[in-house]
Amino acid sequence: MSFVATLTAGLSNPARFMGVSRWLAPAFGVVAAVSILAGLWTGFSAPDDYQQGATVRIMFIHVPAAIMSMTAYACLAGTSFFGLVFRHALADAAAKAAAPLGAAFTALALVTGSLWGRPMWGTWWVWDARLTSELVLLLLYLGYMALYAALDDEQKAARAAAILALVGVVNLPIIHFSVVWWNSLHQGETIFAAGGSKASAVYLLPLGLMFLGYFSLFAALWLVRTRTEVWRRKAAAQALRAAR
Amino acid sequence: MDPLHVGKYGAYIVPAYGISVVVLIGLVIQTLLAARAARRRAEGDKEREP
Repeated sequence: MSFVATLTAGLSNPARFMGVSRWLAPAFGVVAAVSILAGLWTGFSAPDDYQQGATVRIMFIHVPAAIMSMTAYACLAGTSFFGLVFRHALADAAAKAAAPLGAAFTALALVTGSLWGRPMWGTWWVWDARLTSELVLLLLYLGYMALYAALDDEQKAARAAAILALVGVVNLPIIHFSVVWWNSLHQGETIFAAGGSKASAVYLLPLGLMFLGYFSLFAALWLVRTRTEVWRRKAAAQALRAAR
Repeated sequence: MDPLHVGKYGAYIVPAYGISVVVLIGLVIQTLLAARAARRRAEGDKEREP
């Protein structure tokens, strides 16, 4: 069995998940701290861009936040699928735990993008396909959390929220290909462009480090929040048993 | 004095990093506090509740 298959099988069992995540979460936390500090150091040591000037430094936090906003949604949708189809309680817990993190990364992508756009484009916001679809992603996260909170029955809430999450998956390719499908003020594909990255080599190291840092931070927080959800459900079950 | 080499764009770069730091550190603190509280409740240790 491959490493990923072994890890997935291990993490799908709640007891094993609690055992593995106990050391995996701090390990991701350490990687996140080291990568972000190194990314900040290399980012602020990098030369100004010939077009963007010093504002290129905003890209080192904007691009990783934007990528993580979609990565977190893919995790949310994937675990929602498992929760919905296989009625897996741990998958429901993981989906619920991913939503606030994804919403935070999406909000950061929008705010940092706006702070870059003002000096470069001359405006804080345009109803551009990329920006609008990213805003829709934030609304999907908020809708998911609101729907979960609105229903008292946890299983019904998980099911309804999972359906919303799966419907929202259609937005991910729209975000990614928006700069290809429509004329956009937002720059075209740069990092994952066909034929290789179009970003200057000097910026790839800080971008890569910051992305590794953001990804590891998300992984660490996702694991801890899923553990929190497991403990919360355990406490609720204990309280219910005690009340009988 | 421009230790961060942000030049005339400091008014945009500093808030972008500042907001990111506040949000990410806030997420870490909120996540850890919620985990600690949930763990204590699950273990039934009501005395140590804040």
